[in-house]
Amino acid sequence: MPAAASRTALGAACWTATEKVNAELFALTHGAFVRQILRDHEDDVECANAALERVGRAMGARMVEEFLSRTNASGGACATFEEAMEMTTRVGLKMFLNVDAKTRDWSEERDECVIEMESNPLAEFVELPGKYGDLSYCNALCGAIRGALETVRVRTTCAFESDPLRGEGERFAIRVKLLELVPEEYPFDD
Amino acid sequence: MATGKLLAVWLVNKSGGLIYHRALREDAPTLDANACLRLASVWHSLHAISRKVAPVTGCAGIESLECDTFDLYCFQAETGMKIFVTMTKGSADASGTLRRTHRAYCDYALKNPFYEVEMPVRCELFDVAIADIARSVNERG
Repeated sequence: MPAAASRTALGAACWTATEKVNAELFALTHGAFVRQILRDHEDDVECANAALERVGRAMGARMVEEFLSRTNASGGACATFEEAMEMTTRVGLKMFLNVDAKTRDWSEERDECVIEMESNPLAEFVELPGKYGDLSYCNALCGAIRGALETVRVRTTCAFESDPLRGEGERFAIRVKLLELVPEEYPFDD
Repeated sequence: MATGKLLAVWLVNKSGGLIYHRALREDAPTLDANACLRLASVWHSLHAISRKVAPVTGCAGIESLECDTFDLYCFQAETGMKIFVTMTKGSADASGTLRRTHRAYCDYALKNPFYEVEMPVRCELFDVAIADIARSVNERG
């Protein structure tokens, strides 16, 4: 599939061109950040998950602009949800996190899929203690994907399908479901 | 032919509100704040109309407007954010300038945690970046 290969190449090129930060600094900062959120919510794991999602969403809404400017994607906007997901998976995750990922388990209506990540730099050194068993440690990532897509008028839901930190599966996988492709708003009525 | 000089940079958010305007040369017209807001919103509407009335599908809106005395080049990102620049006559296109401005907006406005999305850009670093872009454009050729 040549389209997939060219997207992978674009992702790799964007990754090479981006300024990097030490991966450990990044992983440890995220760790400190998650701990602080847990503390702020008095160890209420559900609240912390929601807070992580919220923060991620705000980040995604800003990051999408950089994604667009770096990929020069202005000419060819994604026409379908499927294209948007391929771009997110092969270009977005690669350029911001250096994660190789692919989509799988497409629904028949092509409105739902799972993003499988080969690796996850956020969770490099993490073991979840029992009392945080339900914590979705990387929920900010779901939020970022959702926020980024939302900003370009693709409304989705996003949640971890499998999270090795919680003992589910071998790899991190995120299920993304399309809710609506929001039409553009015009400053006048028809 | 002399190359075009950058007169002014405008940034318009997805609802048509002006979030940044800066005149970059002395021969750029002086406009008061209200006139700037009005013109930005007029351009936002014109751009939207051009997409609606285009005879082909997938039209991205007006990209350039050539007048007797100046040229206007516009770029709209998929997020709905618009950047346009006015230039003196003589430039073939301004895609490089628009792209650099977009990059500067990502770097110095969006990455500033205290910048509020969709609100006017008041970031000194962004001003500096725009001044750099203007200098490099206006000093070439």
